[in-house]
Amino acid sequence: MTRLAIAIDQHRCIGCNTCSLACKMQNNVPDGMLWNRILTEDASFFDEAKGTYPNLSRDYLPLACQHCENPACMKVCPTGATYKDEMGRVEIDYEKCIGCRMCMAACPYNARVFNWNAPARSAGFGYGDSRVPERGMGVMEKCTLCKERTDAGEEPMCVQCCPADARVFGDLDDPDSEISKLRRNGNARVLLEEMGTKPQVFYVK
Amino acid sequence: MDKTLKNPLTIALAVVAAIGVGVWIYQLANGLGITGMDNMTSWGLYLACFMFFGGVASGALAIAASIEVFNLDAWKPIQIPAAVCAIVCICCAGICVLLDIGGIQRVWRMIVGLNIESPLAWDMLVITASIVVDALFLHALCFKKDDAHRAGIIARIALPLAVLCVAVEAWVFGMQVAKEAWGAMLAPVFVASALDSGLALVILACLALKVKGLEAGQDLLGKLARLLSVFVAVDFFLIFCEIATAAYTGESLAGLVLTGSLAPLFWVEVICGLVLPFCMLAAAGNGKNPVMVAAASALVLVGVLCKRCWVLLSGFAFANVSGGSGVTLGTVAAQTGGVAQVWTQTGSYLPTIPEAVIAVAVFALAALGFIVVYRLLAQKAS
Repeated sequence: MTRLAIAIDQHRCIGCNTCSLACKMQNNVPDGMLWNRILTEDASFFDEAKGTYPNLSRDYLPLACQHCENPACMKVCPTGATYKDEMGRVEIDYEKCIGCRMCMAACPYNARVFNWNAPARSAGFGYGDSRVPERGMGVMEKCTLCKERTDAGEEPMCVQCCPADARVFGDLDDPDSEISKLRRNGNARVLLEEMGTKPQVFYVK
Repeated sequence: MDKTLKNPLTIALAVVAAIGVGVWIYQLANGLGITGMDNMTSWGLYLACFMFFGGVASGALAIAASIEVFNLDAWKPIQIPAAVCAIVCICCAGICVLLDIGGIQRVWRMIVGLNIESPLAWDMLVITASIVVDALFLHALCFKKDDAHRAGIIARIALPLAVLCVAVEAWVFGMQVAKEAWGAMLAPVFVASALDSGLALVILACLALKVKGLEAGQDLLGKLARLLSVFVAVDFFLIFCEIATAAYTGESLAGLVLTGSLAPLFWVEVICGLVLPFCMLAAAGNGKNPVMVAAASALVLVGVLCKRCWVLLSGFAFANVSGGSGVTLGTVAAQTGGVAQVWTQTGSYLPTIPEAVIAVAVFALAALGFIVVYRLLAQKAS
């Protein structure tokens, strides 16, 4: 079995948003939405510091689909459009998506974005990898773990482009992979563990 | 054609419903972006109306079936109107779900590739079953009066089905792990709301139809008023339990509905939809004042609709993983309005005019459906 996942080292993350834009470019994500966003923890706006001067700190939390082992979104999808593939990724079959948004209500990470209108791109044209399928109006989309790239043995674009080397991509079922070693490190945490979704994406600090 | 089908009210309702169809076609062409929904508040008025109609339908069906199951002969005059309310409202509940679907052209996937684990799949199945059972029940009541056995058997299926239908509607929301505000309590709360709103609509319908036995001072009107006051009290009790627990333990839901952005909807429900009608029904419990009973019933319906809205929106108030700048909205404004329009940390929602017009049209369609179905049945049966 293969369980592809991403580890994010929050200690290394500098909040530059490169992964977010690399993802947007790679996957032709329309205007007004992101598959991968960078949150500033305990902040009301991006880049806000926490604490009071001079005791300030700032932590970034890159957030996208967690490719859960027990995906809440998949369970509630009435048509089976959301599925877990043989590589352990949570994917959407756009042809089957009826746009009911059950998955959107189910996802505790707000990882999903919906095409409320016909997708708009201020560039005036589609961009990114030509292997990435187009999504139309009324269809749900989200991080695919760069399915097209990872199928071809490449790293996801966010991992490839991270200038701080804060992201590690790999197979959790391979005990010798770097990501498995990181996961065994006592420091690893997943988001909203109490929800029972068992995220494959995890964070270290 | 029957005169009642040509009167100004029927024609006005048909016009409103037709306008709704027009706006829905506009929605199909332009997407759900014409509504007030976004990536944070991803369900809105359509699904609030779905909860409302589903509840009313099941409440009305439970009443019609109970009259058969428990041999409440004195209540017989309201049975057929109740069954008609049930079938019309369950159809409208189904319509509300379809209005909310972003890719209606692919909805056939729910038939060929149904994921039976999904609460929406259960919902489709119970709504379909309800429509079939309602139709069989009405048929038995109107055309097979000699065969009392038949209606009795169908009623014994219809009564548990009505409860199941409300429970499944609640589970569509309550089984979403991400939503702290929606939980196991939702199903009992929905059953209570279904019973009071269902009975309220049946009373209004019967008074409008001038059903025999419901005249001022008649025993039946007094009984209906007293039963409605009991249902209202139960509804009040369940809401009180939920909000009191949330307030005591400091859950965010309490602040949200008691003093926060959902407070107007909550307090209209509690005061105008529960306390006020309860007092009015207590005053009119002897059945001498049909106007008071009718007004109380209408208030109960308004209150339950408000409750549907705040229950729905409470689920979308906050993101579970918070932080600046929050969630990307994905709306037209987010596409074109610059970075300030892209992000949000809290849910905010107001239906747009086209969305409201479509919702009003569903109510018009429900009233129209009731008039047409009831008249046709009365004509055929006589």
